[in-house]
Amino acid sequence: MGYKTIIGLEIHVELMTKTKIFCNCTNEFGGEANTHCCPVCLGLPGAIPQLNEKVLEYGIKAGIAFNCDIARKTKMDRKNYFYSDLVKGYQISQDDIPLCSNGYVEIELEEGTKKVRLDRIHIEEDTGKSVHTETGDTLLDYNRAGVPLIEIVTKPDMNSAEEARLFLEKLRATLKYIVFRKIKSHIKIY
Amino acid sequence: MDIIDLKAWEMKEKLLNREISSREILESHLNRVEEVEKDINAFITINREKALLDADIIDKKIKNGEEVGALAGIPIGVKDNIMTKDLRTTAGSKILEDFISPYDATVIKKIKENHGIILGKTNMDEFSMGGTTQSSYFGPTKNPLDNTKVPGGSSGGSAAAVKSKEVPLSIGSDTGGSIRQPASYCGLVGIKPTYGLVSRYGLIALSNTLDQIGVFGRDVQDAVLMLNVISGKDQRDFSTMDSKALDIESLEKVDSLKGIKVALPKEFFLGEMDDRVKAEMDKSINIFKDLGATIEEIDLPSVKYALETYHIITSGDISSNMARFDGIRYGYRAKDYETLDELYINSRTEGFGEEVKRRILFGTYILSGHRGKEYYDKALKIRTKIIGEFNNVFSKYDIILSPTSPNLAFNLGEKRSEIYSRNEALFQMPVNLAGLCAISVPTGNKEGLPVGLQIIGDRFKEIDIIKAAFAYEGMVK
Amino acid sequence: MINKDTVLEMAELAKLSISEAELDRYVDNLNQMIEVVDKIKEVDTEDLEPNYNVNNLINPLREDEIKESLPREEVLKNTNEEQYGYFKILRVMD
Repeated sequence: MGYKTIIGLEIHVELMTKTKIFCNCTNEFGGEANTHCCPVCLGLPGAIPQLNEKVLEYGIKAGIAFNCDIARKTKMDRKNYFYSDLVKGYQISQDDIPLCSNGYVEIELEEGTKKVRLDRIHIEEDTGKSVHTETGDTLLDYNRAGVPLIEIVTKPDMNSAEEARLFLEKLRATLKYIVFRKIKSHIKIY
Repeated sequence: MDIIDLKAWEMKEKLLNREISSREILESHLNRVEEVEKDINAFITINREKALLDADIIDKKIKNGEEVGALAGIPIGVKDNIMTKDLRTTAGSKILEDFISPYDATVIKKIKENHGIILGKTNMDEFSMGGTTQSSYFGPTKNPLDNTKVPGGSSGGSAAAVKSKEVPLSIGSDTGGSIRQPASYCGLVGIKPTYGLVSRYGLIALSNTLDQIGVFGRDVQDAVLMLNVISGKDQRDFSTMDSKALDIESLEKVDSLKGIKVALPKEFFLGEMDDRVKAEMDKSINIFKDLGATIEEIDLPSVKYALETYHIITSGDISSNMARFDGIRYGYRAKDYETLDELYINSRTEGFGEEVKRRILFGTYILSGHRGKEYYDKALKIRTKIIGEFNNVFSKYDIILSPTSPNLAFNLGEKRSEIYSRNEALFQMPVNLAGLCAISVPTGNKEGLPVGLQIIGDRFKEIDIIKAAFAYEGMVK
Repeated sequence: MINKDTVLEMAELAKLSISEAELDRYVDNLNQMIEVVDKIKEVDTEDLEPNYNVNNLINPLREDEIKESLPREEVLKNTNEEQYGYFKILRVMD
């Protein structure tokens, strides 16, 4: 008896908006460390997040592109944990009412077309970055803190590395039309 | 009459008439601080040098015939949980003892634009968690009327600073009574505005959907002067709304409340309270009748759960809001640590006081696992019920009356009775849960410690509570 | 009723340390608070929606326009240790 490969993917996509998700700091890549920061993305006490309308727009567009149900009412939630690149001690993300749910991506296999179903697409903020030095310290740069992301989660519908590859290519090809920048994927093997 | 005995609006009048200078106003208050501050401890930081520079700038403007703002020349106290650029903001805590904010809260920007002079940052319960200002890392504040008594809290420093005449105006914050209660204990006017009238951008968050910045003044006119300056929709705080809440220009001093319908919730008036408070409440109700208002008793049953609902929501929020204090980007960092975990644990354990830690732990408990639904979500549903009940009351009545507190200012170091503690919360917390506006005005008693009357208004109906407060104040002066 | 273990678990989540000497006090305090708030269990909330914000604001969104960020010195001025424009802490294992 052999094993069946079952693959689900969780993909984070950076949105190419002008500004970060919750503040007016530039979303431009690069820049000297800690020069694209403000009270909001630094998580200073008293700062209040303000949702970027373009992030909502791109999130909805992605949902439409992948045949999702778009929520009529949605909300942001806090994911509380401690880490040095997480300025508030929580990440503003979406939990039980994601912006988009269900949906699918079609991939072409030899046998025919296969639908890889999506579980959800939601919007959230990225964290800062750490750099490790030889002297044993960690250096933290918060330029990337607050960069807008959409998270795309698939159902475990893929059965081979090849299918996963085709899926990602199709995803990328579609997303390119909706102005995205960088796509990072994490593989969850069931 | 000394300058410090004048009301804020009187100081401004004399300044514009060139009878006194801004420097004179400021110096008389700085002298007062010299005189009494060691006995009161209302301030954590005094902004002496910058304040003197500000005063000189205003004097120059007046000399040149330039326009000056609504708060020109008036020395102001700011509760130390409100961000002030280049001036220490500590939240009454060791964990922010050396923190210097790189930005101004929106209300501070407005005060500066209106030429108010920030004289200092006032003392408070640590991170606003308390009702007596005794949990401050910087020592307790004493009630200026009686040094053995508490000034109330958590905005005790802001209240004491105005009562002791160290400043004529101050701002504080109110999440569950933290402006109204100290106003009552110190014999001042205190206003907690409608949720969304004043921007929270730059206010260190305690409970994000309950917090509001508000004002202290020695009379209604003074308090309204400040409220007018700090209100208004702010693009940096999405929870603020445009409103014609104040429309102060058209407000004439009112001496009749004919046609005003007043509701007296049985839950507020049948509760246990100090005899002196009861006596003042009875007198106050008669005063409203004399002013021509109609008074009716009503039921407000859901306030029975206000205390529990409040504690669940605020503790949950606290446990999350306090997570940013980790010693990495700002704030106290422990000297000894070997891992990231230890950096967090040691900094937070050494930096926070006990009450803060207690609430963080409780909040963590009620948010963990299935308890989040059992407690927090359920509390949010009860909140809907409370809001509904108040909407119903305000569809028939203009204002609600209650005692601000069931007791007078009590001794430092002492604990109040359970029932008084509970009733005080009962009178104050529902106002925050429903986002309503409320004002506490001193009642007429000339003997002994002050009693406060609370006038509650519907959301964005500050005009109703201010009119009622003006009329009442006129009768008890 | 919660016991010492639960309090220690919560302390771990909240990155706080409670000493042996203080532990009993915290357990008592927390149990008192739980007893108080448990009262809400008697309320029927079956047909109620949770209230997230009294203002019920619909779509309070911000324009995607760049504004000036804080100067780096301001960003770093309150930290204990910095180097080359970065915040510095001891090495963290990813």
